[in-house]
Amino acid sequence: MAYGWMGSGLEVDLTAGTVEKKSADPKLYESYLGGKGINIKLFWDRVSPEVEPFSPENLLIISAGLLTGTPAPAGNHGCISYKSPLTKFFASSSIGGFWPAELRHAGYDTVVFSGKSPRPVYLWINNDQAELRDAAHLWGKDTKETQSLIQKELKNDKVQVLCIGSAGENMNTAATIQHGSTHSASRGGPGAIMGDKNLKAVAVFGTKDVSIARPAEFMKFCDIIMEKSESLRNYYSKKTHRTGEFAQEFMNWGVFGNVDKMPADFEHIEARQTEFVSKYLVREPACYNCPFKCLATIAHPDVGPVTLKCTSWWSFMCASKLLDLDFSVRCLDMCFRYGLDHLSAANRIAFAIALYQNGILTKEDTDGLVLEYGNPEVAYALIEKMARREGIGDILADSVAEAARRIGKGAEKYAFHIKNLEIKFHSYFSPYFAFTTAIGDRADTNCAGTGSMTPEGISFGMPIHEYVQRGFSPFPDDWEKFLYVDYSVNYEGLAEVAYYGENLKTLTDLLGICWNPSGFWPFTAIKLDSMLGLLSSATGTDFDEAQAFKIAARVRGLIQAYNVRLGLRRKDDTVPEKFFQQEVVGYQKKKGLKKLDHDKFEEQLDKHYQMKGWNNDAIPTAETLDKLGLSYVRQDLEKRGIL
Amino acid sequence: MKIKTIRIDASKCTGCRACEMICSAFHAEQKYSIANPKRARINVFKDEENDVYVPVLAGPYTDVECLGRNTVTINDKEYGECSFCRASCPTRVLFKEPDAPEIALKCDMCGDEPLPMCVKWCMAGALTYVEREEAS
Repeated sequence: MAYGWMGSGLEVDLTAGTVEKKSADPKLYESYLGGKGINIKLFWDRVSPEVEPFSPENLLIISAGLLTGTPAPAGNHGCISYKSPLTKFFASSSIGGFWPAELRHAGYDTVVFSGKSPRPVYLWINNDQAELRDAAHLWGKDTKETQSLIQKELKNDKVQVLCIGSAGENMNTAATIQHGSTHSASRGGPGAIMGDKNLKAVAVFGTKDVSIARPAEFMKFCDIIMEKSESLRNYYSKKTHRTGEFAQEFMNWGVFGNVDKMPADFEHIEARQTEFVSKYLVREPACYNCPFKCLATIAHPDVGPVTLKCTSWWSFMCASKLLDLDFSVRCLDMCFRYGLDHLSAANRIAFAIALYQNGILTKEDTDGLVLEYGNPEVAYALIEKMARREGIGDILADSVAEAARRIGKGAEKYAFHIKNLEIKFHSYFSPYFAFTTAIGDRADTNCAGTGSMTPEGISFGMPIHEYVQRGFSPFPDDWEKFLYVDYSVNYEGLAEVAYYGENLKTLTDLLGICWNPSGFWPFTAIKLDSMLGLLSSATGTDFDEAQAFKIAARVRGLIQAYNVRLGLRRKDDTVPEKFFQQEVVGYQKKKGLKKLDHDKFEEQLDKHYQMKGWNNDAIPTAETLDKLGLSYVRQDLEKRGIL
Repeated sequence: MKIKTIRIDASKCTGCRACEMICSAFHAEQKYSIANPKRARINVFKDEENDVYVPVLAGPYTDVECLGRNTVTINDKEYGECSFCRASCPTRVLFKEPDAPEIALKCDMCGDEPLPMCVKWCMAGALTYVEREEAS
């Protein structure tokens, strides 16, 4: 076994009901490292592009990162890949918490699910023993109850569980795979793939070592990260949940980055969130071996402790135009239990309310429900209907794009999505945010995108000079040309910044290092040089930036090639047209944002593709594929007449 | 005599289990060559559903299970008799080498290190180290 990897994977044939342990090819690790890299290679080799998302031939592949379970701080992520029922492309969803590290301790890097079980089952991995067990008694149970029932059944409270709720069972394309109180793999519908396969849960327990090749050197990099974390860890939680500082910013952007105005009381959201948090915040939990504390546990008097993170605080308040944190927490608790992605769910609710308000939907279409803003009951009812695919919820469960096609009557005007994936409520009027979202491999920047997700671009309106001086910037310190540009209005340099950001993000996906402390923010505890140091000392093979980024480019190129065979082209790398068409008003105008400039956007896209070695229609060139060691991909694209 | 104490503030615990991880790595035959929380001499008892997180340090080895037991109720939920126990004992697998259950694991305060590693890695401040002199 090579250092850094466990060396084995599990092959689960759900149709036959068999589980087999397989040794992995060391070449696979060398060329693709781990996580998303392993997943796309296996997917390319085994799933032809014609395979439908909901079919036994579609695979669900879970791989831990190369550093997952090592002492590397925040080395706790895994990657779940599948052909998405939402985007219809290859998609990956990242997941943190405790499950991916436990998989490595059980002795595996990867689990591949194929086929379809004739009845509900769950997989139980206990070190070298792995078996499929009946899950009839768990079907219909919510995700929290499911995890607790499995731990009781296996008489082991250290068992880590991934599972789906009603949304996944009913194949809602916004269905997540949930783990723990709040962790999820989301934004492409992985829960729906589990539902289609009749796979309710994956439970794992392991007692094996994860080994490091050069321990003393490895720990030096851990120490650097821990020291930086100490300075930064409070900053993040203060901004996102302790004070509601970001809430104010997000709310002011309006519903889904729309020019819609929010009700006047939203001006007080910062104060309201601060008050709410000071009353109900009981803990700031963390994922496995992470010095940060991104989560916030709210002791809700009715529904019990609910653990939230990041933008989930605001999705439903935006969708329902309702300033009510209690409402927001209740909606999220429902989403966690049903296993429903709060971003897509909130977007779908906003879409349905907008259709109703504009006369496109009527009471007859909604089982008598009056879809209005400001009414918490509307969101509660729609979340439940979507999770159960009842009435209007059945139509919304497919996606806003598909629902708009079915409803007709101009409904598509209110359907805001990129490559079918519902957009978040952030402002896509920011060239930086729009661009990095458009070029991502999953049409979404939240946990699988590029660079920090801010209208101001890299700086997020924060004192970037200070971060650079203190060695906290995720970008190269000598990037004078880009670091101080306000990308909420500027375009020049976007191609380069997004190129670097995407390579960095892809590398974290391969290593299983959480993106939050490693590049998502303009201040970062885990800089690239630390990651390269960890990678080299864990495996015993030295990697420099060029070598590591070449692997990242190989993985990104392979994902692109897979999706190009499904028709993905330059035309898809964009954001909803309204951000190019509508004039900016209100708060966003005051901040200096303008509608997007089509020509400047396209100019950056040209440059960006060029940097990646793709042609101007987003297809990796033959030369690039050969250079990346992907000649087998070039041959396939040539055979299909794409190259 | 020098008394070494690790003070546990359960309300500050983030449940990250870095203490378990670093304990196992520090005590590896070749220091830091492996990580494996199941070899740790500290265990974070977790009930996320009810927001209960309690780090428990491995205490003495016992070759027979105890007769006097207790349960603990927190926020109306009763926790099992062994939940917060420190012993390495025949009733359970905790605080034993996973491959060699006959070998008990006990916290040694990391010997001569200036700080026990679990304390060093606990950014949340749930674990703090206190030394005091006591007449023997």
